[in-house]
Amino acid sequence: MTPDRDELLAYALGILPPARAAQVEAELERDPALRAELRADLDALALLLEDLDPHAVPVPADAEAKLLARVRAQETGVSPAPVHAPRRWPVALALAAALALAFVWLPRPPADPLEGYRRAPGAVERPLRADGERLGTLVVLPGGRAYVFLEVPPPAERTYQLWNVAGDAPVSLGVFSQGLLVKNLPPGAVLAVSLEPPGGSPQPTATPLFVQRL
Amino acid sequence: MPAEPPADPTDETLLRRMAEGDEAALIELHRRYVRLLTALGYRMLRQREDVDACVQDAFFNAWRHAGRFDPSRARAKTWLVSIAHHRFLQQLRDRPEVGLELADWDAPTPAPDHEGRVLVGRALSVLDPAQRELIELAYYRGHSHSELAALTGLPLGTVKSRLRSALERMRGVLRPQGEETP
Repeated sequence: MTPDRDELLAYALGILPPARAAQVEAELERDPALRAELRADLDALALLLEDLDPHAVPVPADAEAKLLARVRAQETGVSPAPVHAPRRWPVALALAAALALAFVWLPRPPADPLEGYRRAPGAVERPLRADGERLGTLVVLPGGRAYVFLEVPPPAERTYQLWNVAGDAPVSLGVFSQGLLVKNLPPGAVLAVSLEPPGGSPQPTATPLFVQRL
Repeated sequence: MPAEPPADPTDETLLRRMAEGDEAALIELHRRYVRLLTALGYRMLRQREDVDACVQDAFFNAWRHAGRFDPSRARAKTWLVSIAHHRFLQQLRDRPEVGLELADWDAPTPAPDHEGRVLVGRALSVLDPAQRELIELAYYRGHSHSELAALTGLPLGTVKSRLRSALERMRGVLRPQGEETP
């Protein structure tokens, strides 16, 4: 299937899941116009590097010598001393082989946001339930942050909307399809989620799916 | 900012010579881009640890695969930057402790360089802050569309449309004057 504009851009950014990226690469092999689009995207993204200061971070004086030593070691089969973090090299080298087949390097799948927040230092996880049924997970993070994750995406033509239930009227904290990070929550804040029309509502139009105090 | 004139020999020529086993070409390519790739790595990993190893990986793999470089598909510099970029993304994803924070992108203003000058590249000059935040979170931190939506609280469709419009503006910088979008 020919990738749409969003998928091709995600591929250029390196954020497309590997399985789909492989399909996009197959399409790139077949479609010169698609390759031209990708080339234009990659050239445009390279403009971001103009904001970097190439002299801000010193380069080790022996970087060139170590690169040459590695190249020559590959040719002779003798391993040079690693630069750093040797435990990760095998992964990097295995992935490097994929480069030979791909237009650009395939990244691994993006990390699961929920797992990332669960592992964050100081994170406290709580199940979100309604009528005895588990709806999702709330991860309370230090600094007044919280991540709300619901296990089932909203039905068609509806979106989840998160509310801070405080004072006279709930305050919208944003709409989301499955997970949402919110910041600057006061201690003891009460969160609620309702199903709303696409784009959200100024005030809840439906009974909350759940109400949860931090 | 005007485009730099092509170096002599060109990067593409260096890659062709690297494919033939010319170590001097590799060293010349390294001299041209090691600082840029190191700066990119530092921006993405935000700590010095592992940057040098990743940069070396990028050049080493450019050496190994130079024979497969196709100048009709990419500029040599873009190809090299892509290799390094994906290597840094891999390193980020190998770090379980990497959070999904927005802190460094809440105020996407350029930092002064080592001499106190504020660098404003062509990308920054055409993007509004909201577009720049999304592009940087995706490019430098490797966040997917859904992660960007979760991080920013924006609807998924808005994330995608802002990324599209940002890229269109950036591509416009490179488009010859007078050439319209098809």
